[in-house]
Amino acid sequence: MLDRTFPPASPVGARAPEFALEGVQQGRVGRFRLRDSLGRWVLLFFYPADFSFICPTEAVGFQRAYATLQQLGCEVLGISVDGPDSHLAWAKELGGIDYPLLSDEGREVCRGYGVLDPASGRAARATFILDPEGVVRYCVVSHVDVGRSIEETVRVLKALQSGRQCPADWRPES
Amino acid sequence: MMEVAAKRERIERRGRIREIVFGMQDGILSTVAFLAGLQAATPDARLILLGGLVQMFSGAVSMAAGAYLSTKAEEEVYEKEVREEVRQFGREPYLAQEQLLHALGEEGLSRQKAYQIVKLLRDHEEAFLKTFQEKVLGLGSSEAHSPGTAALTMGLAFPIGGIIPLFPYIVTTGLSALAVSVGLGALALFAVGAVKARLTHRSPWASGLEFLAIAMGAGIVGHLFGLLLPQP
Repeated sequence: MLDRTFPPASPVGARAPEFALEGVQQGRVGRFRLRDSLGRWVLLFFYPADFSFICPTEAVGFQRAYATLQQLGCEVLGISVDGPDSHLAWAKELGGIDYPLLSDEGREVCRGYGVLDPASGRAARATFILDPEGVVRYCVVSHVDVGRSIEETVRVLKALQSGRQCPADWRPES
Repeated sequence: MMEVAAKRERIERRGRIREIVFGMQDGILSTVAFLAGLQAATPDARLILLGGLVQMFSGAVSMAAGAYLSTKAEEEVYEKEVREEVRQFGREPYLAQEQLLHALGEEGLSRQKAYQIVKLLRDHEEAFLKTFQEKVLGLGSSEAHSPGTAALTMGLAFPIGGIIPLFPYIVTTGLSALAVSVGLGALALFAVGAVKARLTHRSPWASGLEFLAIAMGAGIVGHLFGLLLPQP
């Protein structure tokens, strides 16, 4: 599906590529740079398209988890190839999204992160967790048909922040 | 709304005309060839007439049965698809919605517009399912005839076609009956060919002449075959 040779180099441990994109947050259009979010953890999630009947379950899921993520010192950035107008209308359609939705209309960021699906010209369903220095600590890419688990993403973030070795299905309370 | 209903009725009628054309065409052709062969094989006018009648009605029954079975099979496939779709819509509506969204996008609608349409439709299950059938599965409800109607149409069209080349054998005998039968059959086929050409947007003359040649050919082949048979 993705334009890559196998096996791809794992991005984990590499510095996340810097970007500056137009985006929408709480009804306002602005320019968002990755470096402005650093100093905090960053949850970067790519998704194929606004106005879909599958994506809202993810976008809304991250919205529900947003307060928790903020408490964990983590910023959330959603990225698709749709333009800011589409993001504005989409966020309104979903009843409001508090985290920024960024527009990678040039596909440069998707390409840079290796998550551009050449067949559709859209982003794959990919999640990156960056530490406060901007280093990729976790990455998962799933087929376009399969939505992500928000709970699992939060669990991984907590595990990473714990700074310890975490066995399978580790939970913060365990 | 009236206009749409009228258009739909016209499309459905066109589908039935197609069945009538094919039924008549088969009735004319097979009766012309059969009678030409029988005429060559026996001088018995009563036998020819009887044979012609039997051929015409057995042909009608067989064509009706064929139409019934094939339409029923088609209907079953259609119903199965629709049943599966209803089940999927009930279980995971967003998957069906996503598929319809994609299909509308392929027709050139912007994603946002397609989304709004699907969103409107999803609250009206029947309208949604019908649109899904057409846009995603490519099934048009107007194409679905009932097997009974198909069988009846075919079963009537075949003997209506068949009676034309049989008629000369009722009023006359021998080679004159054969000549008039093939001539009438050819003319009738020419007419049917011209009607069919209108449906398929071909030249009525080319199509009519093609049918005429086929009728003559069938008559000749049938007659030659009859000549080969031992005379009673």
